[in-house]
Amino acid sequence: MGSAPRSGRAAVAAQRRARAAEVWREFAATRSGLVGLVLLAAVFAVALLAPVLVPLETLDVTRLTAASNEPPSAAHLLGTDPSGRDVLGMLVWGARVSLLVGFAATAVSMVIGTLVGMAAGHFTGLTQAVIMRVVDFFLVVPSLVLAIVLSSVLSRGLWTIVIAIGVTSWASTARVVRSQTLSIEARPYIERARALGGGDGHILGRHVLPAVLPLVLANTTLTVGSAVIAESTLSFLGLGDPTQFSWGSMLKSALDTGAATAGFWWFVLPPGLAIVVVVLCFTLVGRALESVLNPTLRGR
Amino acid sequence: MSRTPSTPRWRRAAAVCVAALLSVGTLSLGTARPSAAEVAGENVKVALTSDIDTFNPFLAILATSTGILRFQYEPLVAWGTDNEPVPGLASEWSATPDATTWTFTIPEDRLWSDGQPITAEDVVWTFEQIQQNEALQAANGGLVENVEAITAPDPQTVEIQLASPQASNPGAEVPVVPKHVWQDVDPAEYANDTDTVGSGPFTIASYTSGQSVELKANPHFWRGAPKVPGLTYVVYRNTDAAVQGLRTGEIDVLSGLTPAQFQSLEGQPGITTSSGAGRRYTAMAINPGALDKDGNPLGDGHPALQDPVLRTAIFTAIDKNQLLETVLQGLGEPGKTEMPTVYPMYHGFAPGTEEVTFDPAAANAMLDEAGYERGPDGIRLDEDGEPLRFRLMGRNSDPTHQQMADFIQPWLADIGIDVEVSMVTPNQVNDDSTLGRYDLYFTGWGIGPDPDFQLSINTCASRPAADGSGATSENNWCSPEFDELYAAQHAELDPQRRAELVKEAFSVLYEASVNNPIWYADTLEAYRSDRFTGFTKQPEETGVITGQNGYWGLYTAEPVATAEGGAAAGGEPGGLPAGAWVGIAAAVVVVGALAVYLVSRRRGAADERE
Repeated sequence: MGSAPRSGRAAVAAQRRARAAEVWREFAATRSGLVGLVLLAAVFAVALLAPVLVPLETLDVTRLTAASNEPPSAAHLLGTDPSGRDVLGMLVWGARVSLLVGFAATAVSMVIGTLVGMAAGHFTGLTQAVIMRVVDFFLVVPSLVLAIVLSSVLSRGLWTIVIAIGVTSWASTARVVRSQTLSIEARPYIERARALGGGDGHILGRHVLPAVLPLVLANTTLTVGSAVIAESTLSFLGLGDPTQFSWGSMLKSALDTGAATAGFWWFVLPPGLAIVVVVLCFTLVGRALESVLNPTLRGR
Repeated sequence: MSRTPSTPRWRRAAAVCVAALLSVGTLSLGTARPSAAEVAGENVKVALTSDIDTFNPFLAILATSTGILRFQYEPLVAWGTDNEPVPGLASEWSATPDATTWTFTIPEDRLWSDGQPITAEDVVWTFEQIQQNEALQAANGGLVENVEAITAPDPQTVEIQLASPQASNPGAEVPVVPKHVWQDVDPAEYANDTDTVGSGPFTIASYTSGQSVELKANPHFWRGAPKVPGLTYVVYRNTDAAVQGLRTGEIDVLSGLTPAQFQSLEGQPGITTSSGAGRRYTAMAINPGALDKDGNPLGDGHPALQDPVLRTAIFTAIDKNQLLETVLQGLGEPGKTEMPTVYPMYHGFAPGTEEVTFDPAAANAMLDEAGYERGPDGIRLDEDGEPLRFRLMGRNSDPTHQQMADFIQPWLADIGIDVEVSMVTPNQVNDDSTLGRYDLYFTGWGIGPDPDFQLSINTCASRPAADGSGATSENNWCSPEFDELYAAQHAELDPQRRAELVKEAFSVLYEASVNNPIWYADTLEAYRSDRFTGFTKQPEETGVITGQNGYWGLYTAEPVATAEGGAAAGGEPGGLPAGAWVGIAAAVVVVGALAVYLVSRRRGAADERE
């Protein structure tokens, strides 16, 4: 009696390992996904190493020697900004904020979306109706407008942005998770668990959650991309944390100081291209993952 | 279920990229410009980049609206090209020696733009409307507060009786409206934006909200009709777009450039740039322990800042010259008192005032001596053992605020003070500063030629009620010494003596270290000198073309003569350097390819789903 569950669990673990290896094989077979992953890894490495690559003191405006808006040169590969700071250095530090906010906001969004989605799929009757109306509400409210309102009402800072993005972007995840929950709960083993006396918590936690997680993972990578864009948008609108370098605030500063008109392309293009590249990478990885993990997209 | 074949996709992508490149190419070439021959008979087109509230002169508060209304309505006394009082509706005026009764003479040749004579009745009616109708006091209520009675002994004479002696001319600044038009409408509701009747060089002909304002020349203007048929204000959502508009000749005059934009327009053919001494100061203010009008604490300023030594040390740690050089690219003057350099009579310190200059070592010494010990993290502690950690607030609409904060944070860290920066909306800055909910913040006021108003908002009586309503105070600061100087200058009729008192009052305010002007920024303007010329600046040598205390700049504009203009027009179209085009083209290619890829990708996924 004692060894049976353990060996059962071991069997399950082995099965999951095998499945993970299979997922990786299929993922690695998608060239675009792999390219995205490699580029992302590079961006991550740069963001993590920012304090080493570009010590923060070198961006302290009171200790600078460079002139304002210097064009690219050997000393400043991407030139300098209106205060004389190295644009490349700001770009490197901006990667930290963009990625941090992207991931943190996505985590918030995923936790809310998964919980609400599972609940909406699992419960029936009035509870489901109420949850679905809430989801519908967040689906139709323009999330950028809601995020702007939230970030101007809450006190200014990075975490406000995280919350504003996270709280407004979970609804579509909830719907995807709900449909997956419905399909899982229709399977015989759930009925068996219920017949054996499994409660709501047991069924959701032990059976539904592991089954929806892969889908959530694929959705996460896609959401990070839009969270990065949302962060840049909010910073660009002046709602970000002004004391942190971010790609959005670099673009705001470029626009406010008239850098585009003056032809200081080295201050306008790099942050914009950085956003494009990172979002593209997340999209590539997310699409590849999705096509591997999403049951409706498999077996083509 | 079939996938889209891949060849057409790439062909499509290539087509998009080529099209994008072509459109970039046409952009750089498409700078059509009307020749000078067409200019005569054309309005001067001015870019409008900030908001308009209303053209009702009783209600208009925003700088753009009041600026346009200066073309439409003359006050009794106008401001000349050197900000000196000059004839407006009145040709001459005098005050009794005790400065309580002022008499103005309106000559018989003054006419409204519809040909009706301008009489003392119009002036009396305007003043009485403001006095009697609270709804009409929004814009100019303060200017008539001291007026006890206004009478018209005859159609050409206005007499103003003041409650208390007043040195600043009571006939200045109040726009006088035509009684024969306004008495038939509800003045508080009247939009006043179509086919209006005015007394100045131009009158508003039409206004389309969010698009344009048309003004036409007033043939009856007593100084002579303008040499252009009218003005057209064209709304631009941002100055970058307006700069392009100026380059392509869509507009003729543009103000409010950033230093980078200004420098990019310098030396462009057909365009003349003008860096005019501004009449606005930009300062950092410190909450000195705000009090409401009953003397109760207001807001949540850091208690340590009530110590003047600490406040002076903070200002000593700030290098104004460096800020001016880097943030403004040197396009301004370093700040002294609140009166900018364009008012030489009132600008500068009273004798014996000690100017605070940048000296971090001295600032540190001051703080050491005052007993602010450094804590373990290098941040000084106040007498309660609390760290000196202050909030610094600025406007997110003004890029220079963040740029200054980038400097001030490390400078104050050097003297052991921690600063937490937040950039918020202009409205929130107004609300928080009124209620004393700040430690440090960036502020600034546009200053008129008469210093009385700016001084009045620093008196004890100007402090607001506990809920922020009532009077407007600059920093909720209060000093009996200052109030005495304010009262003395308020009643001093001798200009020389008054100027001394004004400087003294501003110097007292300066030495209190609550509001330290950092700079007086230049107003950066540019205009199509191949189309129009003759703009009179205010002040004449160093001043501005738009945003004057008057109408001189655009009133004196005249079209460039055909012969003269032929040579000036038709230069190289202005544009970005080649590098920029390469960069933009690269970006367009990347974005275009990405868009095509994503679109086709999505279609692919959708195909698969079906």
